[in-house]
Amino acid sequence: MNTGALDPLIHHPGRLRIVATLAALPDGNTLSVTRLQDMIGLPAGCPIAGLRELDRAGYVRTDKARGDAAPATATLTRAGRAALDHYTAALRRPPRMAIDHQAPAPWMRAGDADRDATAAALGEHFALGRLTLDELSARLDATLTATTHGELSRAITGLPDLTVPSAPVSFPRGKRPMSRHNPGPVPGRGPRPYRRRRTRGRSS
Amino acid sequence: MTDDGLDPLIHVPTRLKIVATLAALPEGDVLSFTRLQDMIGLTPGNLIIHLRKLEEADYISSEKTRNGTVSITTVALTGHGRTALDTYTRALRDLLGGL
Repeated sequence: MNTGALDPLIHHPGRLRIVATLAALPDGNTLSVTRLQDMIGLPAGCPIAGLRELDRAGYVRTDKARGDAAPATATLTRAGRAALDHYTAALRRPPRMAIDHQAPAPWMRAGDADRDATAAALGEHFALGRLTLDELSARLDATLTATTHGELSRAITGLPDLTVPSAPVSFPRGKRPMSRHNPGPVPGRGPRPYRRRRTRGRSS
Repeated sequence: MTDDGLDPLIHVPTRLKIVATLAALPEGDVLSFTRLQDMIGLTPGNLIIHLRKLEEADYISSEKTRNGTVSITTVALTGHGRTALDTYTRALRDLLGGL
């Protein structure tokens, strides 16, 4: 669900109802406003405000009978139908979780779990005969002293991907890029200092 | 207004995004405040206000843990919140009539 793209004009509950009701009609069909009010289940006079805004945006065309102040009929315009299609498509889009599945950037600080995973992978490669004992111990040394994901990936360079244990979606808690020049107090943990100051005490 | 079933607490786009993001986690999983903030792209103050509203309604739960000098706030959708989102999406789907 990409709610940044949710058309606020349509997202409003009252207007959503109007647009959805009109969209259920065959293209270009006109509905009388009293019938529309009845279908929406509103007392007479209620949906007019929403109608006026939709009319102004060009989503709905309203027509008045001669001499009347209030609109008598309403039609969904082509622009209105397109906007509704766009809206429903935006609703269907899944929330943006891709960020969790990307490989960490090389400058991202590595934690114990990352080092352990790389060390385990090296052991697996050694067991499969891809590394000699000397190579294994050199690479293990590099792995266990690595502080960034870049160093970790250099330690397993030239080796095929084992079935990568999928990273849990939620548990890289607060892991975020740290500047090389200003590593946080605990590597790979916690937000940057200025962020921490802003959230402390208010994020209960 | 008749009862159109669109929970106003969830309907606000920002909160809808928060709830939908948390609902995408496996049940019982939590998300850190900073990560949620990154994913949704809100300022901390803004996010806190929305989270507080959701927490007051018992749609989400939050937990603050201190880890040395670093304190981490995690949030998770409650069972109640998940039900509310289900009800909301069903109401929206009904309203849009399969569009």
